[in-house]
Amino acid sequence: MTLAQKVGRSPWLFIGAAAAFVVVTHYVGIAAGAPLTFLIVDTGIGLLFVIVGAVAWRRRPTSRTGPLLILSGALWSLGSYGPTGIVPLWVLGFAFERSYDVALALLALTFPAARLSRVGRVAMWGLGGSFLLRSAGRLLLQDPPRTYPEFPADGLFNPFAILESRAAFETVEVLANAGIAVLAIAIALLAARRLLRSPSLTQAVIGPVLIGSVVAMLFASFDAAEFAWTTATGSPLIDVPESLSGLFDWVILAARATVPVAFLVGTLHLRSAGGALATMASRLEREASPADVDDALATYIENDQLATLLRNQLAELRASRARIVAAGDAERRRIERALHDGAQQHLTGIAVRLDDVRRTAVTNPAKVAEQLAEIAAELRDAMHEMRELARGIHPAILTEAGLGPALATLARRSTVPVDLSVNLDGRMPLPTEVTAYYVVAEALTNVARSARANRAEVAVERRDDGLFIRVVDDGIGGADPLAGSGIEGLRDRVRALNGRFLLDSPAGRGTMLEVWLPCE
Amino acid sequence: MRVIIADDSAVIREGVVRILTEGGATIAGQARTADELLALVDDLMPDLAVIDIRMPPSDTAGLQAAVRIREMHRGKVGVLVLSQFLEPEYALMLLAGGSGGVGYLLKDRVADATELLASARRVAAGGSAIDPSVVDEIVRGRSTQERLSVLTSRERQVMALVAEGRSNRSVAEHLSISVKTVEAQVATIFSKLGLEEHPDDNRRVLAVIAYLDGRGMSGAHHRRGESLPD
Repeated sequence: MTLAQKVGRSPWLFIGAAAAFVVVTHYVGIAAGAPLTFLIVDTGIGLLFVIVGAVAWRRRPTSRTGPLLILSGALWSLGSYGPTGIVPLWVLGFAFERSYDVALALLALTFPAARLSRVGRVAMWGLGGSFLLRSAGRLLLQDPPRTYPEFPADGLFNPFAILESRAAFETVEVLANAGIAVLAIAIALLAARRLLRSPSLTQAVIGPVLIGSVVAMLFASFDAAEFAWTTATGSPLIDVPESLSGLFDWVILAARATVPVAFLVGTLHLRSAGGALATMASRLEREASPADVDDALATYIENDQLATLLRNQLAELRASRARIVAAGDAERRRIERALHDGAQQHLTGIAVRLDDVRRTAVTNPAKVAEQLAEIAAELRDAMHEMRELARGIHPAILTEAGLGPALATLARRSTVPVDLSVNLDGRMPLPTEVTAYYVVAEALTNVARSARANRAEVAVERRDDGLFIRVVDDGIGGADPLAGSGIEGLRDRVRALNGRFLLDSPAGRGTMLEVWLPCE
Repeated sequence: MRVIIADDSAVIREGVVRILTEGGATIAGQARTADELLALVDDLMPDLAVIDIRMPPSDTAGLQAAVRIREMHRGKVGVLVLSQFLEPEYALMLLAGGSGGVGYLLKDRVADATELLASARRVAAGGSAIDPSVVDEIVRGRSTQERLSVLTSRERQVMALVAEGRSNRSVAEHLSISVKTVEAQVATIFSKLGLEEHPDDNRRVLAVIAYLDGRGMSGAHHRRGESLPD
């Protein structure tokens, strides 16, 4: 049974106790004459930890994040007793100073629900051990309280001491702090590596928390290094000029305050994206009846941000699907009309004329050759129309010879002169080639129809694992994608392939269309 | 003239056989698929293979077979492709292989015995035959029109006939003018367009078509030799 599960049965008791402890610390501190600003800020940060922990706990009762944060708050406040000068509280504060870093280190490596790696486990045990060693030294080996020069040394004594030896105290202090300094850096590195190796969506969720944790670990390391150094050499690790020391303290304090804030951001972020998923996952783990799945899905979709996003995308998807269907219908109508008005008319005409010939053959045989020539001419017209119609439905040259030759045909047939530049190696997937073909075809149709251009340029090349298409003209610009110019249909086609579409058509300065299509 | 005819449609095969037989050709064999065609050509080494651009097994099998025969038996077996596509690209693809013994005609020509026979003879004899509609398709292009604006309309007519693969004599007959006049006009056309004149009719066709289609012109370059799909 984990810590979280043990305490999870009565979270409010635990939260209340932690909060009360922080507040009591505050009053005790004031009563003992500690500097007011120090107490307000220090206690504020402690309370912030408890509040963030409570939020996290409420959100995700099975996660250890909440309890660990609340524990951090309590331990933070315990450290705040250090400077109060109240016996024996100052000894406890001094002994357990910054021990909340252990909880933060654990969060840095596991937030929101990861398992500790083997290296991480070793680092955690090492860090915990070092803190324990330091606390034991400070608690059990007596040394005058020169660590806090702002409090008078008089009257301060350590009632827990069992051995009074400055040498023993200093040895333990240097060893333990050196261990903390090294292990905190190691954990910061592990956390940073974890962040960098996460997929981008996970990064967005755990990013603030891990960055906050890395900052906290770096401070812990610096703090411990300074303790070790000062104890060993008697001089500070970094000599901050007197004029800046106040500012320096505030910077450090402000930086520390970012840690619970980072956790708050991370927790709220979890609420928006991963939280619902985590809840769903944990529910489904236990039992997976359809009702549970429904319920879990509902939880997921209730999430505002995601639902809005989904709704917008769905609406766009439906609209584009409707447009594609409508375009298909219109195309079928066009083909039907073309067949009816063209081929069928010709064939009917030929049938009538052949009937004529049958009669003429009897009455006026000399005229038959002439009539047959007319019929042959009509047949040629019919064949020509059939050929054009077939090309309009799908250009065979595209499938058979590839995009380059097909685009050459388009360029040649354009009523506006086209400079064509094609740079391709071999064939691409057919959907890519077909879409590219229609992009150029539609763009050139628009150029001819409404751009009033003198020239157009078409460039097609392989780029970034895809196909890049660029159509530019020197016309009047102002092409409107919504004005039924076929541009919307093009965009739908491009998006259906996961491509990118860019139209730039400032009034009076020509039109540029750029399309990128993936070639996977 | 020994000919092999390859088309999966029996009607077209019969039509072509009839026209060519009446014109005095010998039908060495008939094929319904590209594989049959290639085997027959290897066996019989005819003067000419008349090939449907679309044949089983795949859409492009006919064209591929034509290209293959061009590569294997250049100068020995002429290749005349019958196509339902008015696409100059296919003709250019066939011409790109080199000079002579190649033709690209629309299937409509099967209804025009005289033209089909003349083209078949020309290709079998190592010349070229490009369908007038295909040449027209190239000439109609806007950029081509611009480039041809330096020519008179008669010169343009002559140029189109040259692009079809006709000799000076054939152009002269077609336009009912003297061969000398045609020679003079061809010289004018080539110098106006800055083309090098070739005594060889086949290279002349290639040069003219490439010019018409804008190849080798600055600003209008596309890569040749796009491979056919397998």
